[in-house]
Amino acid sequence: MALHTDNLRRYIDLIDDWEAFAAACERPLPVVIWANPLRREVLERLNDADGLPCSTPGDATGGGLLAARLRARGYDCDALGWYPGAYKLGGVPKPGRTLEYVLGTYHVQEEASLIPIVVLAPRSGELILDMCAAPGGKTAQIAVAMASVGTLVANDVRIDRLRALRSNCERLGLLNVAMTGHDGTAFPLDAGPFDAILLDVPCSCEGNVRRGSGIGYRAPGAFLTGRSGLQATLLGRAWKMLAPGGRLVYATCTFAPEENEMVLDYSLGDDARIEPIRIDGLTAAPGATEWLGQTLRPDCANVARFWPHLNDTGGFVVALVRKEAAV
Amino acid sequence: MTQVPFLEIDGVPYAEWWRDRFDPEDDPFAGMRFYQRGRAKIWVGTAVVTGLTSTNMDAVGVHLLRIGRRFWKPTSAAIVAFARSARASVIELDRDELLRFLAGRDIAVAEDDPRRETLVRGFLAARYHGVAVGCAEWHGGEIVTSLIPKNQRIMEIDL
Repeated sequence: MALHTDNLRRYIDLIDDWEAFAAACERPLPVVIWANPLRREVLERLNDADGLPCSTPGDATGGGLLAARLRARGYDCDALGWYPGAYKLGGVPKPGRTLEYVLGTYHVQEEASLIPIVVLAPRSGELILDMCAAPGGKTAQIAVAMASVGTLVANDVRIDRLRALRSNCERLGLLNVAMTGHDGTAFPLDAGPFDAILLDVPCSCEGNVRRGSGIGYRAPGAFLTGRSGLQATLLGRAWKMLAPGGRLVYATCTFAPEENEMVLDYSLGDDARIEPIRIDGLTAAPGATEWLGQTLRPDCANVARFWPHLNDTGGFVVALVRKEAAV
Repeated sequence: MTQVPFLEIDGVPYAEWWRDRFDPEDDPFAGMRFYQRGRAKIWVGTAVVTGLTSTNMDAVGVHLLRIGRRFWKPTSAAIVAFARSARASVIELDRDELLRFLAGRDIAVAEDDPRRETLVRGFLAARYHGVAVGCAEWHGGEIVTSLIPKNQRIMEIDL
């Protein structure tokens, strides 16, 4: 199977090291899991029954208990470092087919897709909207960060994807999630104002090139299929529902500025500020402030581009946008 | 498409039913809100959706009970979420039984099975090493039925 990184050559000016990028795109993605603190007690009981450690110091997530279990079964389990309770997994043929998975003690999620929620930094007691939520990995991260206190509205327009969302929420034991099936572009405005909104929009998924899918396998230019319009409409709708002073995280798993900085530039007004993003342990490249001869709003430089070669992950582009507080 | 709304209700009758049935060590519903959807579905969780009237909810927290005229039935998801400290209506499974249970197959409880002494007719919390894994049902005979929903049955698992 030949990779078509040539299709991604149009981003060569945005990438610091094309060779490293192209090489990273050829490597398969590691499997990453994160331990679910809401089901920590399950691990304590199972470990107790199996003579494994039932508590590890400084382990709020239960990740240590999970790692001890998986290692006892002969699996490789290396802590990610930058994300508490997350591990790179090796030697597990089907990570979604273990008893620990079925009992909701962990979730399988691509490393780069963990980033948007760290940026969103959800807090207990907030009212939060996850506008394009299915299949629910990020939804679960938000619910866990809120410690089940406050309300998380998880929305997805597609009924089949909503089903996957519901099964993940049930399996992971999320108590503060209300699921809705609205078309995000017509989400009822009176549902807000939300303290924080995650807008993980449908995109052309170029960043999934390492999964053997995405733009790398499609005809050149396939990204320009009108996603940008939908993305801009979703962002416009979300912005209306965001409380003054609230924060919105706009994220895609695609590299095209047409689906990232240009959407932000087109949709955001003077009451928006794209803020810098810094995550200890991860390297990000700055966003594009100019593309195809068009100059974009200067704070687009604060968009964080996580190219696959920078942290050996999939690709993700994340923007943290703050709405000005009412005067 | 109009959807059936979730209406916040007084949860006391449902929490009491749960207490009578499962005798939990603590109150598993402390600080939670109860919602009813349609005639028969009771949901519970910490989400506050009362203000979100015009949104079409699909789920709020965990589906707790189906309340019928003849009996009330807890869901498997509710057992997993709230039956960890149950002291009554519990059946402990061994490893092989767990595999059968998750695949939706019956568990044998012969006449001389010591677990028969504590079994109560009706819906049970199936547990493995004290971890609640789903809803089961017993009617006094030699089998306990797995009530794991068909679409959630697991035929192949790595233990």
